Amino acid sequence: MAFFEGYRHRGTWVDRLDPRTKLAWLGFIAILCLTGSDWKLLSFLPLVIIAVGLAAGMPLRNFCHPVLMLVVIGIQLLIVQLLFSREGMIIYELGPLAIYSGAFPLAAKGFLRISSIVLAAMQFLQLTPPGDLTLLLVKARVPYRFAMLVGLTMRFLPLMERELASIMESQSTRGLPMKGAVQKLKSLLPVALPFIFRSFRRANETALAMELRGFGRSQERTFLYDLRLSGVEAISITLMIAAVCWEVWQKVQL
Amino acid sequence: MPALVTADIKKLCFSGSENPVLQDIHLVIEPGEFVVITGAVASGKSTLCHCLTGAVPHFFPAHLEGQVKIDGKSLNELSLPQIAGLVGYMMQDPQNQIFSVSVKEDVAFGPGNLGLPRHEVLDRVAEALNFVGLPGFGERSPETLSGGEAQRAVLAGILALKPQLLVLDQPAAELDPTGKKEIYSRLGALNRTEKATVMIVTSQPQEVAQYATRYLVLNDGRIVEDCSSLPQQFRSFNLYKMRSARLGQLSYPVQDMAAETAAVENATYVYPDGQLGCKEINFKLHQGELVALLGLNGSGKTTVARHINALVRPAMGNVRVLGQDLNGANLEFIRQKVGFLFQNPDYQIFAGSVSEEVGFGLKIRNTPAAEMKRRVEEVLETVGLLPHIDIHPHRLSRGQRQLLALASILVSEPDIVIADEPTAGLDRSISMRIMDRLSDMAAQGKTVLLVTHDLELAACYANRLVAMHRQRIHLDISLSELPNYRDQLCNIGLDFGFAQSDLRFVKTTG
Repeated sequence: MAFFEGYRHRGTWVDRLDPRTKLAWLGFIAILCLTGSDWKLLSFLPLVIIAVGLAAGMPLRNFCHPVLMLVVIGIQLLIVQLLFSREGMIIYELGPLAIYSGAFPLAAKGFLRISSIVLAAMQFLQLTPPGDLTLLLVKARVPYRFAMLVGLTMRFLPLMERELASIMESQSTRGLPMKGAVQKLKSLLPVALPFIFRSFRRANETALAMELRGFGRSQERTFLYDLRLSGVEAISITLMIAAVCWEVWQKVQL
Repeated sequence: MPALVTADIKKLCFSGSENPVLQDIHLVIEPGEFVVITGAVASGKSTLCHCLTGAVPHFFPAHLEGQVKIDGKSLNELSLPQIAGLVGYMMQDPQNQIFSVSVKEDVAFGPGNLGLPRHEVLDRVAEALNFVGLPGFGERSPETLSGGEAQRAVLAGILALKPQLLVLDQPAAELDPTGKKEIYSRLGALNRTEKATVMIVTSQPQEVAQYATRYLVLNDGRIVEDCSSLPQQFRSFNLYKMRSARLGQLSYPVQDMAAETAAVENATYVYPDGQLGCKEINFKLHQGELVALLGLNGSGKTTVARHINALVRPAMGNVRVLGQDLNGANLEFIRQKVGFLFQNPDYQIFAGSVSEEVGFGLKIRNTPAAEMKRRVEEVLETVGLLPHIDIHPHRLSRGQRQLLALASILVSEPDIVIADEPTAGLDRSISMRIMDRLSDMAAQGKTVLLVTHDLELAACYANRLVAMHRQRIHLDISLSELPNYRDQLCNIGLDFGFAQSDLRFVKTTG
């Protein structure tokens, strides 16, 4: 399973949505995570994101790698909170080290917030065609020469990931041990150097091929389609903005 | 009719070097010509392509004395994007030349950059996809295309720009026979029906002889031959006869009772994404054998070979190497005894010198320095790279880097060597050097498994052919049986590059 899963056309209702709707959904989730402190809400959001992903045709395995990565981040968060949090009462003391009861809920809330934002961002990238992202940026008046780099990244990241796997395989057949974190760290140079060399070469070839197909010839270019926001999507975006405003207003009132 | 291309290159040197890469090139190409550019490694073929497309000097800084004109316009005075409508350039690796996540968007990339109205862009996309035989592929992701399909998608993207000159640098070097036929037949049709001017670089000009109208042979940066029919050295070139003349024998004296070195028993493998890798594979390898595992791209041959090196483990069935069943515990032993030569040597090269690169395998096994030095020099002598022992590996040519990768494997003295398409994209002379070293190993009692789609190469060097089709073994025959199975092999897309008379030659000598 690839660590970076790019966009894949799945033929579901999400493919027909305008990227602005998807971006609004991502923003909505992120703001709710950052402003909300209710346990129920924070626990509910990751489940909603996964449910939406499944309904949009994303396989459950696509969430496996990010969840593993989030668990590692969560452990780090817990360690930081155990060391530095001073909320609640002392539950353990050893010399200068004192662990407070408030460290656990703080770490858990931080973990839930980060999880929701990371999963929603991953979902946005996996469900939005790179072409739509480019058009989104062009709409935001970003010059197309820069906007199209987003699409290129989406196209080449999975390829680079596969190439990295091939390089690791190639070095391991020469006897380079690559089991466990320490061995992988030791093998950094024999893996990283061919990877960097290949990446430069790919970038060179791609840049040449793009220029020879007229990239950057004029200020404007023709795209195959335009972004169109349906009425339902416009209403959904309005509702999300309203909900966010309400939430922020509530916080300000407090 | 006025000339389409006039190239007058007195001298071309890359920055930081005094040695000319091209010199005394005076070339005139008429519209509608199909020109084949060929020559040895580092003879200047790709550099000439770069000059004809404006990549030199606009993209690759170089000191160019002279100029190239296309349709009367000097490329020195145009920027690369302005050259787009004049020249289409296609390079070897299609995946580096597809920029979008769907074929349709990619083909539309060029016309979109020209700022054409949307309906015209769409018309050009449909027309180009139809022409290259990919109608209905518009929504496909580039990653799902085979090598041949991807090359044709790139060709469509270039044709959509309607260039006056098409320059292709080894477009079929890594394709299987079916992929090669597809791309060459499209180019032939383009030249004949659309009167397009085509310039193609290949190390095997005989493959496009039916379409070509002119041949340019380069050597040391100069055009040494410019003729309208296939040059003599390629016309009379027959790998099989060359090899038999050189070595005086065609197969290895494998004993009927030679010891088994590897066995794959009823192995089935399914990739994590659910794609079938291979199904119910049964075959054995013996000491002193050079076995060719043949098949088109995607037929499952590499998956089978990867089993022997424990890069994959079968979901069902068993793999036995040197008497040991594969398991996690004996991985180190297997990796030491089974060398794997990958198609792309750049996947492994990282060291600062040739000797360091070759010695890496020994270093990680804590071999004493003196022995390491001796073995490195010995193996570099064998592959002919000893004169380059201290230079940086990336200063070697692609073929020399493949020899370096081979040396890196041989230095560990493996009992089995698996070579996965080791000669793809290389010219015949360097291919033969690599294959000669592999056959030397088999003659010394080692086992060599050659994974290839090149039946001609396999017939020249292997003593046994195992053909795969749709993830299963289709045929497992000795070399002498080859003439009897011509139709069966043709039916699965494995074309014979040699004539019927050569097949008889195989029968009598194999």
